[in-house]
Amino acid sequence: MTQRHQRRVRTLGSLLLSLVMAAAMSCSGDDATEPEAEPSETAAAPVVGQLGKTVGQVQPKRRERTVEQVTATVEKWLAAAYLDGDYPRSPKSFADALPGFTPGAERQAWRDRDLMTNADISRKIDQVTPLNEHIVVDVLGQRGKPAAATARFKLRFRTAGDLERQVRVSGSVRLVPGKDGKWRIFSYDVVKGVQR
Amino acid sequence: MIRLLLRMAVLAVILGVLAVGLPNSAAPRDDVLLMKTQTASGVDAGSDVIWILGIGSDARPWEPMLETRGDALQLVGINTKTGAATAIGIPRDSWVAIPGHGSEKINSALYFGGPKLQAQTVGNLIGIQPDYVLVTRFESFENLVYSINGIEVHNPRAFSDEYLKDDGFKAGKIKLSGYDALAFSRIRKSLPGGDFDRSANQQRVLRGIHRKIVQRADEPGFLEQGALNVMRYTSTDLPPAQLFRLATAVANVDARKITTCVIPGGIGYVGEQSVVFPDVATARGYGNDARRDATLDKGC
Repeated sequence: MTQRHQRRVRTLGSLLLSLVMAAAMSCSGDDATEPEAEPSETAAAPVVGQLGKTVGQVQPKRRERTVEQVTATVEKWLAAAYLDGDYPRSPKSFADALPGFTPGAERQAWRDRDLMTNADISRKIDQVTPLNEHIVVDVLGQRGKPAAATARFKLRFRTAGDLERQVRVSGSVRLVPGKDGKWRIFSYDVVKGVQR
Repeated sequence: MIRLLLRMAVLAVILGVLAVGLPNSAAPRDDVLLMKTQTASGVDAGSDVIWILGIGSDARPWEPMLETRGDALQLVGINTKTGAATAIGIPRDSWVAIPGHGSEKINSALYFGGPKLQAQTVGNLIGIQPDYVLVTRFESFENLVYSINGIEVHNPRAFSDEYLKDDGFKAGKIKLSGYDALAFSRIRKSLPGGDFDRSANQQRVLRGIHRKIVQRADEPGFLEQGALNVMRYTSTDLPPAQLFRLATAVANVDARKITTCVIPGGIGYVGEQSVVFPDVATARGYGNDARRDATLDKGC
């Protein structure tokens, strides 16, 4: 099974899990606070898109869909930036590694590409193995509709090649829906660390 | 007995050293590993520099908020690219031309033509037209500060007011509840610089609010709740998504890059009204200085 195929399977799994979890939760009222989830780190855990806090009013079905869509957007970035692709590769090859960002956020993130992608180590590694990935989504709603979201995430992967290390990327990205209904990342706050 | 005491003392020292020197044993395994980390952050709030006119309406509870005068006027700029921010305070009694209404105190513009005319009038004075206007009222402002559990400000001088705060505010770093923040922003008569000092105090409150937002921005749901509170406690035609982007931009402002000034002027009378004659050249100078980068490089 290729890495890309594995990721597709994991993505489908995470969406199903999100649906089940979201379906189990009732509609939130104004200022409702759902049981808070934190991105956890369990070795070899599957990708999880999980509902965190809900602030304001969001219809349950729309909230479920928001968690799915936001999780998918963040996963797509994490895959393009850190997990997918054939290594070793040129740092310039990461030009398309920021899918789902608004144009302004993409420009800023490209300036931070050493952190926002694997551009810093791409020539020195020949393989990336994902270890775990966890995404928790907080949702802001008004009058039943989702208006904005924060995705808090943790990703760990192992690299092989000249640089053999375990890398952890964590932090949060904030998203709003565009006119086309697609969620876009307009803000990021990311920490990238190497475990020695 | 002495030996027992000595043993206990040694044990206490060891426990103390461990408590200080080692991470919490309940922490996840990763947290005890040595990590080299780097951070990156960025925000796209629509444009690189955003200008927001903050208006504190003096509407009493029974009055419509947008049909009264502005009690506090602050033009706030945020540079989302650099993390800089600035606030230009406008003394509310500034005597200026209000489009379509002759010369009046600047805060009457809200009464004459609502937020749009108030924004235009302030924009004409400083030379920067605000992108957004946020209007709040006394009790809503109190609730906003209350919702973030109060703020802390650096107060340069002790002052009080027999009606608003008879026990006064001490000099130095002080904590303000929702009501205190409102009183701190409103008191004028006991301040040596009157309207000018009050405007500077409003900027201290804005800094305090910003500090609190930065401290708590990483708490799950905090910025979402903040955006919801702004919708609830202010009058704005901004959609919630844009408010959330603004809240995120505020949270990304670097406190070390905040600059503030109050437009200076002279005190005088027009008829029986005590007014401020603003130094228009200086106001324009502030506008020119901060327009592109939300920074008052040249100082006040």
